[in-house]
Amino acid sequence: MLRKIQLFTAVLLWLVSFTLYRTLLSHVLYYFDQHHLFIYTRQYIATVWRREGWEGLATDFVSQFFHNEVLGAAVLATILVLIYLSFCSILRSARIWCQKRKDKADARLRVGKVVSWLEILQVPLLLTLFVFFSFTRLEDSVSTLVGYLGTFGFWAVLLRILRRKEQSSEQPRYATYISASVTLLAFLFSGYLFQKNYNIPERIMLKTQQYAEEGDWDNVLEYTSAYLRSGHNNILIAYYHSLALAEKGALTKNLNRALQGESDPAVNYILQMGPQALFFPWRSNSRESEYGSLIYERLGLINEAQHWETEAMQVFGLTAPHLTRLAKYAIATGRPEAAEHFIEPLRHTLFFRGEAAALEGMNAKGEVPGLKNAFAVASDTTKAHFTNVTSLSAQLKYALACDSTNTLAQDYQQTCQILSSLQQK
Amino acid sequence: MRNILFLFILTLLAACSSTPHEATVQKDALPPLSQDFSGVTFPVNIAAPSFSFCAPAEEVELEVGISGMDPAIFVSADTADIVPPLDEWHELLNAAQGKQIYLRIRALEDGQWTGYKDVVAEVSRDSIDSYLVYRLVYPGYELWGEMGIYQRDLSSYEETVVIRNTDISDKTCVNCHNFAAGDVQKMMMHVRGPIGGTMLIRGEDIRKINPAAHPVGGDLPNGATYPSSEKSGRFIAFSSNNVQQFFHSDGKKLIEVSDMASDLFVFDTQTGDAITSPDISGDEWMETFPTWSEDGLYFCRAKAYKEAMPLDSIRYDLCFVSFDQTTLQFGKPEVVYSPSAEGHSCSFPRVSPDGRWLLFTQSDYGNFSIWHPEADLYLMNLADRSIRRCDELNSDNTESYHSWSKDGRWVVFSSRRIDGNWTRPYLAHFDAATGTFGKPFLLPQETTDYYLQLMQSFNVPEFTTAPITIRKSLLEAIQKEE
Repeated sequence: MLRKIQLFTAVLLWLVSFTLYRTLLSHVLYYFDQHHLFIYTRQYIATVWRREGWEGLATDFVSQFFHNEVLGAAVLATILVLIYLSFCSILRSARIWCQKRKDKADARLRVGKVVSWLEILQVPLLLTLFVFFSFTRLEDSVSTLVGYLGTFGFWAVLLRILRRKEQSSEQPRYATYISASVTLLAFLFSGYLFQKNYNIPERIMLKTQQYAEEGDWDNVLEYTSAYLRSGHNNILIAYYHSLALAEKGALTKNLNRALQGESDPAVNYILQMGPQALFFPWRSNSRESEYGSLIYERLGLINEAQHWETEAMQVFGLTAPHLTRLAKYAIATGRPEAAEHFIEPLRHTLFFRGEAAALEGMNAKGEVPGLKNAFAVASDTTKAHFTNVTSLSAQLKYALACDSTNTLAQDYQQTCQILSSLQQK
Repeated sequence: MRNILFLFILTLLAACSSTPHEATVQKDALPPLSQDFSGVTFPVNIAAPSFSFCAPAEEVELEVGISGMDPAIFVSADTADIVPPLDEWHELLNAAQGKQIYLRIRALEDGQWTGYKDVVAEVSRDSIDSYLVYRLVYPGYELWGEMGIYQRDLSSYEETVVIRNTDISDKTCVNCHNFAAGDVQKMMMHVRGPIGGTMLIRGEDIRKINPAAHPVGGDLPNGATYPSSEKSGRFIAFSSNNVQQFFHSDGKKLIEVSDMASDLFVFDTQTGDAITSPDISGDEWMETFPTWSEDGLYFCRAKAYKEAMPLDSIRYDLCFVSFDQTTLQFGKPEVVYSPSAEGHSCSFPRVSPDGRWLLFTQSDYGNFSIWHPEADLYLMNLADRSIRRCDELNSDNTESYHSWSKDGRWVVFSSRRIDGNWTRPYLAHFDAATGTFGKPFLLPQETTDYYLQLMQSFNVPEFTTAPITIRKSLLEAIQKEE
């Protein structure tokens, strides 16, 4: 009967974790998908093995499935269930081994009783729930999950082989009741803990980033407005909020409205922060490097977008978003051989082959749909122009001098002027 | 059951031991290979190159032999990865010293074995130095993740770690490895970061030093930057630079690395003094990239940077200053070559070990030529100071850093000719009698797609005559508190 409870627990665990990873924790999958890439080449495997060992390889391997949200959630739920079942199997094997002794004075028999209580009290479930909670924090890597699975899985299989066909004796009936109650309590308490510790700001930030990358500006506005209006302040959220407003052609308009007394906490924060709420001035900050390229990409300042993206790749390694963006920037700036080099790793992945093929097509045509190079039409090639990495306004001035029809740049330039004059006051 | 197994093994053996096919079609063209080996001069001790056949074909056969003789190597491969076996390759090269070898390709195209013209290459009697030391780093900007200095056995494919920043801390940068005449017992390198310093290696003695700590003859506010070790190992010339990075707003150039100030000095490893003079450390000029000759230093010099000066107006001339190793006195600097007069700029001067030639890089402006697609290699004959562009080495893309082998018969240089973004090391033979280089070839790798897969650049390739074997003690010395 205890085994039936364990099986029922496994099914419930799978369903609950799958549902959570599909809904409230989908940002966790997105985060890992953005930061890991498994490349099916000898060179990549050798490099990661040398640098990070099996844990690095396992992390990249598992994370690759997160690109597909359903598959990713299923893989994670399955890993959790396997951890649980492995631990159950280890305890069962240990109990059988201990109970082979008939001498009641034997210490092994006493150990067997302790092990039996560990099973009854669903310690494997408690441990699995602990692992689950660990993984809801982004700083805990997938390798933790894989590490648990590897360790428990190894011992479970080994002990199962050693005990062969020996069966365990039936547990008393009260054990079933206790186990079922503990299971129920564990799930209920976990639900309470989950609700209490759920990191809403983290989810908002990641979902905002995801929508911004997808160009879904309505959703970006919805998330960032809700965040800023809830009394929280965050420079990254302000950055995405201003970008979404500019994309909707409403950045200057909303700022002016706020200045005329129409209070909007979301815009007020931008007014308070000044021009630095619009972009990240370059200050060699590795964390910021991940986000900085998007505004330049949208403005058509491709060289600067490339600068930020290259910095991000140096810090975070070869990941699909960095490779894809760098390939696009190389195409947009007329460097097809470099683009080819960025596309190459994507060809050797499970889920980005299609992306690689699409990029190849763009490279052949020499243009990326939706990506414009602000300097493609007219730039002064007689002398070198260098980016003022601390002033967006200076960059926009040169971009508008080359292409006065760049409406996004116009909106940002007007906003910069408003914010700068406010700061001077 | 045994019979079936025996038959299976026989079938497998038969499949493995393929024999050369006769070409039914012969094309009057060189085979379309991923690398052009035609006319290349190989050192006798170099590892076999790998390459691919770049046209549709089901199978490819390669025969390699000494010209006029039967093939000594036969390889049947798929089109993607053609690599002569290393042992047979070395045997062949030993026998072919001073002679020509051919690479004969046949490809199974549309069901027919098609032959191509032989690719003919030279095999030099001159050995190349046994190791190449380089830094592998993303072609980057300001931040960095993993980077390391590696060494490669040139007669095999073995690459080993000299030091990686992750061995210390990923906030650390390791760079500017330099050797006295390729001697790994007389090495130095910089470590930047919280526990940084200049690592001075003299055999077993490894010390962390600050070469600019005791200036004599002038101020050196910018520490020690680009090094050049004098061949005895006693002196190391440094430039002392305030380096800044700038980013191009538009165009195909991405980065400009420019000095805001720079000076020269010679570090005396015996006394710890940083010897300079007002002529090479004043405010009027920026001096950088020193390199030793028998009687002094060649270096690059530009007018000092002033506020708001356009970076593309900074141009460097090639200069010389004598240095008396007995009195430790500098002479007066003189301009040897003035590319700035014609709107150009030079960098990375390197004097050949026999003191007769000076190889340098020339670009449109600045001194960090790796980001300049127009950068090319030039050679100066030091006897008459005549200069020529080394067209046999150059490409349409960047050629930049370079280094001579110990005997001066080979050079290694950095080039971005493949894709314009990643630096790869090319090797070329040098004929000191005529002052000409052989056709260069890419550092051979075990797999054809090695460079395609590698996202890092080869930085500062330097020859050494032996492997570096002090990794553990070097790490201990780096981590040791001063």
